[in-house]
Amino acid sequence: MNAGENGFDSGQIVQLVAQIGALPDAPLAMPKQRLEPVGEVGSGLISALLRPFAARASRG
Amino acid sequence: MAAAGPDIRRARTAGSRALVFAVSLLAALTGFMMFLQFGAADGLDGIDLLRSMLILLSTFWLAWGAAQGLLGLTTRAQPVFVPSGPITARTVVLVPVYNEDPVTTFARVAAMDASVVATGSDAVVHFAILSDTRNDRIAEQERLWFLRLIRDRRAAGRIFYRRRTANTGKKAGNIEDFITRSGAAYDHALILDADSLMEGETILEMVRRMEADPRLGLLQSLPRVINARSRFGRTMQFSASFYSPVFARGLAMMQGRTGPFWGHNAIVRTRAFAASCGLPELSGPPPFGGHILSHDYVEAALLARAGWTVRLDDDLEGSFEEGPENIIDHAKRDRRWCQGNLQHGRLLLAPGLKGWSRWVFLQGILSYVVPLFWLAFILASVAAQVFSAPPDYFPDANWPFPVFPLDEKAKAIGLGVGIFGLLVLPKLLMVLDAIATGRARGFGGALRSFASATVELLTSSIMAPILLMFQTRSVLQVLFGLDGGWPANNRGDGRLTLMQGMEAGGWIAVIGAAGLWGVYLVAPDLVLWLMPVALPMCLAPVVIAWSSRESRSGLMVVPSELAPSPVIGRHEDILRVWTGAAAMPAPAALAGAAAPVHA
Repeated sequence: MNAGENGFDSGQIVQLVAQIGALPDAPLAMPKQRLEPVGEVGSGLISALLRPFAARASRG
Repeated sequence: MAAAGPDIRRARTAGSRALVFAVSLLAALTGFMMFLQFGAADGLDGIDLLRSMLILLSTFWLAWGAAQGLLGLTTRAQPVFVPSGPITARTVVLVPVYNEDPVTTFARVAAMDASVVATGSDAVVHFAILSDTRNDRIAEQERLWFLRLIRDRRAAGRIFYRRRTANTGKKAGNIEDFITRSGAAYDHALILDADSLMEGETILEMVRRMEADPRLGLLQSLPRVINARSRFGRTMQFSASFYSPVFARGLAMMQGRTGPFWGHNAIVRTRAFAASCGLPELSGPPPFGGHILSHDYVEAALLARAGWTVRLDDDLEGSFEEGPENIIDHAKRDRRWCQGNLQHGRLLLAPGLKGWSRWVFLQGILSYVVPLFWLAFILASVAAQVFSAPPDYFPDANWPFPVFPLDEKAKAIGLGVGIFGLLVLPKLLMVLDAIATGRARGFGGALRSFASATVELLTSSIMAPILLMFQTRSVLQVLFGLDGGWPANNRGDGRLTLMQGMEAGGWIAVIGAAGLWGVYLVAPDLVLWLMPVALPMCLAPVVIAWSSRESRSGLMVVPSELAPSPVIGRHEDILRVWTGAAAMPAPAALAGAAAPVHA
């Protein structure tokens, strides 16, 4: 099934869907969380363990 | 669950964790000591120590799973009683899609919407289809079927659709995009996958439970796999339906307020989720850096860190999902999960996380690393055989009689039996429990349940070495820095030809045959011991193709087939109409989508 077969062009369909399907405008802040253990005990160890793999990935 | 006070609940959680940990440690140490004695019989060397350590770690992991299952057998699903008054909270059901078949997916939305309406509740339950589809042709179909959905369900203002121009952050980014644009309009968001299906009554019950406990940040249901047709799919479906509830009950006893999030079929408190779960991009490139791939575990940990309760309610019925129909699709999904879980290594020491959350991360990592320990154990055992010195029957030059080394083979056999027991005993007890409690009736009765469980055990034993090889490849790919990307899930009948099986599993057959031949040359005594692993590997292409074929046996029956949940029937009915002749009316007719009937 495509839009053209039914007398509507795809631009009109996009517009119609945007109009009917529009999400409510009600923003909610989602602050980024701190996850990396910068300065925490042991973080150096984990970084050191993963560094060779990360280096390989950046080359690949 | 609801009746016990907080102190009792805390004590029960701590007791469950301590018990399972102690049992696992005891089993692991017993295995370690037995193998050490076996190795020491002809003189202890480095390889013996290595093998004993591998046995220690692998047995701990096996015993942890077994103990969790046994713990689950000690109790029954406890219904959570909540007030049944009117619901005032506003809820949105989020359906993220990514190159999925729009007909099947949107028919699920129609079925769930109809199911909610059929409850007669006045609760506000909206649906938002969040498309991350990259394929323009599929996106065009999505728009047409969205109009059809709106018309058929008279759902303008209740069911929404939007397509992102860039799929930043993948599924987690898709949800975050919704929350930051529209999250404030809803108290709760029920997060689904494209293949999720849920009864309207279950959706409302989950909302009621969120309302009854203001500290509850996330409530996870236990989705049952449905609609499996292939031998592989039906084996997984039976296993998920028969065993998973018991394992989940064990998990529920240990989780306390730090429960799991499996990424779908779970409801979140929108404001708690927004305040706690904004995921940062990790420093460095993928696979360890960049966007967090397995976001669900992390979001559960972040909610718990912020003081919210995260809970798995295993008594909730009417929550469904579909699973992969063949080994290749399973392996593709597993590759994604593997990368996501190993990436959690970066987060083990994240600040402020609960200890249990860190343990959950570690378990996720172990679930992919431990199979490599088994493989290493096999290789080390072959090496031990090759490099072992011949027995010295005359160690003392001044003693004329031969000294025979102690025969400790019985210990190795005992250890093997013990490990096999850890794998089989919980399942056997679950079968007996199901027969004793009448739960087996939902699986076709006692005899059929027993036969299904036996076939499941055999089938999963044949598939295990093949899955082990795919897992090993995944872990090595991640460790060598290869990013698996975000392949779309194949949904459909998933039937594979022998040639496709060869393309996907030929390398496993080659490794299996070469390994067996090599062992025959250097350590022929081990050939027989290796057959249960090597033979399925040699036959991998055949097993992959065979297991993807439609199952015609009367076994592996599950309750959702004997007594289908109404929403499954609704979905099938809608799909039948939508895929029938003249399924899609002209968009001009769809444009007059009806006014909302369920605001």
